[in-house]
Amino acid sequence: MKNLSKKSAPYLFMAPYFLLFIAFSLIPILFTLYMSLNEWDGYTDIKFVGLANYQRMFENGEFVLALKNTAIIMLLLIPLQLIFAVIIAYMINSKLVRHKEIFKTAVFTPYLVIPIAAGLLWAFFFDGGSSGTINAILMKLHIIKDPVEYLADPKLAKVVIAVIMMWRYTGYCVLFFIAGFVSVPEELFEAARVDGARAWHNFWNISLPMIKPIIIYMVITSLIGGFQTFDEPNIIYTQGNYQTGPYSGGPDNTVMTLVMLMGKGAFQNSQYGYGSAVAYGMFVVIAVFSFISLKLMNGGDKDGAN
Amino acid sequence: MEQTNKVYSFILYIFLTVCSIIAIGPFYLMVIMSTYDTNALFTDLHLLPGNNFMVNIKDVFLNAGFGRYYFNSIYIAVLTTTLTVLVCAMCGYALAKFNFKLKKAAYYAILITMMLPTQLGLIAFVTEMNKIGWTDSHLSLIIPAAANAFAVYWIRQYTVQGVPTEIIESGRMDGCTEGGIFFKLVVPFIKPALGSQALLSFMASWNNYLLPLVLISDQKKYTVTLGLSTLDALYRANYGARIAALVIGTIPMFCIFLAFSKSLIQGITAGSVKG
Repeated sequence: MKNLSKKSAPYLFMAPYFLLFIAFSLIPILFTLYMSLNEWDGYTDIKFVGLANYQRMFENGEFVLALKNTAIIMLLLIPLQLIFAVIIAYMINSKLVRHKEIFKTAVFTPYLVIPIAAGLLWAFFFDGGSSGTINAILMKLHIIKDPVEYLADPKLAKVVIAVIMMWRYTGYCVLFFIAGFVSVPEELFEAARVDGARAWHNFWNISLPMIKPIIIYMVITSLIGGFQTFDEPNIIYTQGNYQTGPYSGGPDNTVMTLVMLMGKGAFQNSQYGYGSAVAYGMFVVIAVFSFISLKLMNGGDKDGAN
Repeated sequence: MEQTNKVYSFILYIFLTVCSIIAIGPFYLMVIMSTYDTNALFTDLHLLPGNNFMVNIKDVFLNAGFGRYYFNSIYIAVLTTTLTVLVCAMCGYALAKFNFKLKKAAYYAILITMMLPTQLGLIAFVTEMNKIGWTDSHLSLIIPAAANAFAVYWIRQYTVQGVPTEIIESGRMDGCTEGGIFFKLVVPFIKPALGSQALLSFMASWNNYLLPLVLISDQKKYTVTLGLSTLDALYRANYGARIAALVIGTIPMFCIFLAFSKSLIQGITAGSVKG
């Protein structure tokens, strides 16, 4: 370090990061691309098969099913989660609310629970027997007569996953939106007050547009994260009364996600080429969705300016 | 006006309290459930603590070997965090305060990496770990995680705004080495950024499930998350112990949050607000 000149210093400072990145991220990413064009079971020779893995992935319908499952879970999850988060954040940020720290901490708490523990915990709650917590409560309140099989029902399974994820991540989003609302300059509201603006107007026309960059950021990161959903569904369906085996996705595969499909191909069935093709399929989907959401929201900006 | 404000305020408090209860309720129930034995759990819904916690904990630590998983997770998380912060702070600093030929290319490389799904290279990564003999070794969970694009990005943002360039220049004039400038002058300025990144890294390492699942098979090397995911086989019928394990798996996150909640919140939000 002693003879580090100003010229070589930045390269040396960056070297550890980029060496690690190349060795453990870039090379695996490129090699996965290569593997997706080959057939390999981890032991015998690698055999070039061109696009056969991709073809197979679409022909047997697994990829589309996993994509559909993931998309439906996200459709149930992301809009509601972000709307709730914006409302809660706006309320906590209100001048009429004191003890903001308490509410902030309270809604953030679920994010501190390990995803695995969250999955297992909610699996107990959603247990289909009459002693499952939610069934027990609903039956005591006479809302339902017989216990509901939440986790064994193909349709409800997706809702359960969305509920768990909403519980865990809404408070996390709230923090982002609070940070956004706090940074809105007070003068904007002052000006609006002079014009006789109402609270609703303030929210809709000042606060919300001002936090648009954060909304965009949250939508995109939620999409990227959502397409990688793995922990919650996988843990629920490898445990307890609802086991469908490792990397298999619940009743009738209705919560099989893209990452589970990838893991199933590579780590359960030793079809590394096929699993790699799924990984790249997932990558393309995420890239396309991120691009579209970025475009849509920036487009909205232009309309607003008119 | 006063009157309507009071009404509004009342509505806000009600709404926020309901949200808080929904958020904390399940967690509270988890803690309560960990203090009962399985029979009690199945006969009634309890809202106040029972007295079976120590028995459950004993089951978890003595019979299921959670002590070892705990130790593994803690030292993996600490090493990962230290390494990540060091490696990424140096890189972020270089991108923030130096002018050099490849600066733009390096910065864009970081931005693009942030957009990549983390699982994209996973299959080849596992193969690579096999090849270099890091499967079933904690090295595979510690070293590769240190190259964290978000950490570089966020420390760079902070350094650009938080460190006056004059400080660096005057350090050079005084004959300080480049390494000395970074460790002695820059690091104290960017401590908040490093602190919050450390917390995020610690959380990510502690929560990591997929990587240990596919890399670690030796039970002695299990992490807490792997331990939790095997509870079912061990404790089919002992729900009290299983829930107690969930509680103690979550406790470290809470301690960290309580100790550092301010910088954690800052750290989580800063990237998006400033970006």
